[in-house]
Amino acid sequence: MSDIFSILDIRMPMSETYRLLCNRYGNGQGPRVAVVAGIHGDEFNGLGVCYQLTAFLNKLERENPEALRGTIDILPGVNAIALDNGSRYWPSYDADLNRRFPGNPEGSPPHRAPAALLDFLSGTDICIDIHASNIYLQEASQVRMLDRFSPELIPLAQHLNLQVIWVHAASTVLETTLSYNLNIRNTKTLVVEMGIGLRYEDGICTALFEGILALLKAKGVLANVDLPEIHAPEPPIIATDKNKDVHYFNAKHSGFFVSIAPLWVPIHPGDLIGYIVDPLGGKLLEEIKSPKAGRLFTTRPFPMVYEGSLVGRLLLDSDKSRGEAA
Amino acid sequence: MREEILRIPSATREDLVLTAFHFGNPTAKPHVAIVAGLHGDEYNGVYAAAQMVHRLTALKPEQIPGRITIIPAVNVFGLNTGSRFWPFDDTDINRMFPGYALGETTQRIAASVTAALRDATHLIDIHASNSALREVPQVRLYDQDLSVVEEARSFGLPFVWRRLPSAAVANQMTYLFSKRTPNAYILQAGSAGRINKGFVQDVVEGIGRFLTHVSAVAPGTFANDSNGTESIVLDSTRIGFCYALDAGIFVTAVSTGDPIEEGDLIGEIVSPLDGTVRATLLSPITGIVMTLRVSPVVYDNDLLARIASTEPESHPIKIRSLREDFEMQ
Repeated sequence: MSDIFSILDIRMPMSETYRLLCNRYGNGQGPRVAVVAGIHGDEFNGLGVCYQLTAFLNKLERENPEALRGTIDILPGVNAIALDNGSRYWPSYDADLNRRFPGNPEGSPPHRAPAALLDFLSGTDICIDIHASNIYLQEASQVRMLDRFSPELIPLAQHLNLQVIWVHAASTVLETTLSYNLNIRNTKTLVVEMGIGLRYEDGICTALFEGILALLKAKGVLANVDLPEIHAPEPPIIATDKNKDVHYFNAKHSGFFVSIAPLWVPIHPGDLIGYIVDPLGGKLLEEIKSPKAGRLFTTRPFPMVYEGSLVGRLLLDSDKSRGEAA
Repeated sequence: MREEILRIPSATREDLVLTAFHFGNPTAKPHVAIVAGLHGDEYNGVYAAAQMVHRLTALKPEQIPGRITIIPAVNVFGLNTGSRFWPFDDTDINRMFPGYALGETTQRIAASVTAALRDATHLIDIHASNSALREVPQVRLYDQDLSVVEEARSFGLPFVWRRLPSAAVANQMTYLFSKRTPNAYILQAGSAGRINKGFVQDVVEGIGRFLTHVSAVAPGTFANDSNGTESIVLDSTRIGFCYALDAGIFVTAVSTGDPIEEGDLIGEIVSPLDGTVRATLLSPITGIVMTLRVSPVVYDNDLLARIASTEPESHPIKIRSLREDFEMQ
């Protein structure tokens, strides 16, 4: 049976104990896979994916226990105190946990939790770190990775039933994230970004859940098991900074942004992405139109913008980046 | 001269205006830049920088042979609402450097500050601690060159702390400046969220001594100020870091600036529910209380105090818990 245990207990000043909880399926044998969510306390989609996984694996243990050939660790609530009140950062320290790796095992809580998590996950073969954007931007389901890790990560990411694989140039490296610290320690770590903060979006979470099962089956962690049908079998589009596959839309005016073009519908040159108005004076400040063809994989439902605010990202139409790059 | 170095409109409020003040000859050297308020809750730094503007405005041109640029309040919206980070998106402006002039607001703010520092020969970046800690006025620097350490002594503040940079400071204003120009100093004084008037006075007079030392102002300009103190130069091996051994309410027995002997009581951690003493904190070394926790609610391993050694360098320090801390980067 699965085993729920804590990898770190931190006594809080009053009467509560913070616990970094893991639900482990399997007996530690075979390939080891981890699914991590809730590093940012305002991102809830990952918790929903974890629920779908734990419910599925509970049923599998009852009905077909032989199907599990590896070890699966599910950690849905890393930043448990923040998740409980919907704040992005670790409360009272205002600390971004995903800028605290590799952490410090002797530090204060927002340094100790990253250190404990990294230590626990070391030796894991594959880790999926699920994020849900922030409260401003809506993201198509995507995996983001650094160029230098992409040869090993792209073949894994292609199983995940997502829309985009976005390969970043080296200049954007952040050395203080979980994914960077795991990847340099040879745990192949996929950062999923999808949806928007403070929401649970069932459809995209189900798609990722199905994708994770497909990955588990492909890597031999699950065998002889009927998996749910994949709902969106279209392969992901690979976008790279190197090939300039992404066009950014930034506000030229501060104001109230009205988002028009939805995620992932075909965009033609001249199509309206959105417009910015002045609510007090009733003026139209700016219409934002696409200069090129493609699909929006980032939109901005949050209407307040300043000059320079990101209001959308367009994945440019291009045959070269379709699917086969790996 | 007062200059608007950035203006960004807002949808619902007045424009964001970032202001710099210029003193002296625009082509003179040295060019000392003074920046404060990168964090919107660090009022001590903003107040000290504003006082410098006030003092320099009263001088005659011949009293300023160098050039001085002051940006007293970078996080202007955060200062209006008492928030450390940029309030709109909770971004730490001091992690956005060197910035990007066409980017998000905090990137633009960082870029405009970077542009203002372009030909500065010296940088003074004034901070308070966060709201949990109180700091005796001190100079921190990243460059390990001894001439820079000597220059740091000219502030005449109690401590000069030579620090080693970590990955966490990769996009910090002063760290990036120090990679180009080593004469970069972070001043720390007091706590966020309040004015520690005596500490601010120390910082203002210290900057006056520094400006005189580097010949940005003429000798004798601030003749009525105190002469300051002989700085104790520290690196992290000369500091006793004191961490909470349990969670609870921290009740202090000392104050910042107090001399303390090895084994003396610093404070106790008490159960907030039944009053039991959960942990007793004793000083690991003989020295001066440089940093003290002022926010009483603590978790175990929270930083509670830093004791600056007053033993001679040759004297080996016995410290139970000695490590570079990550709290105040």
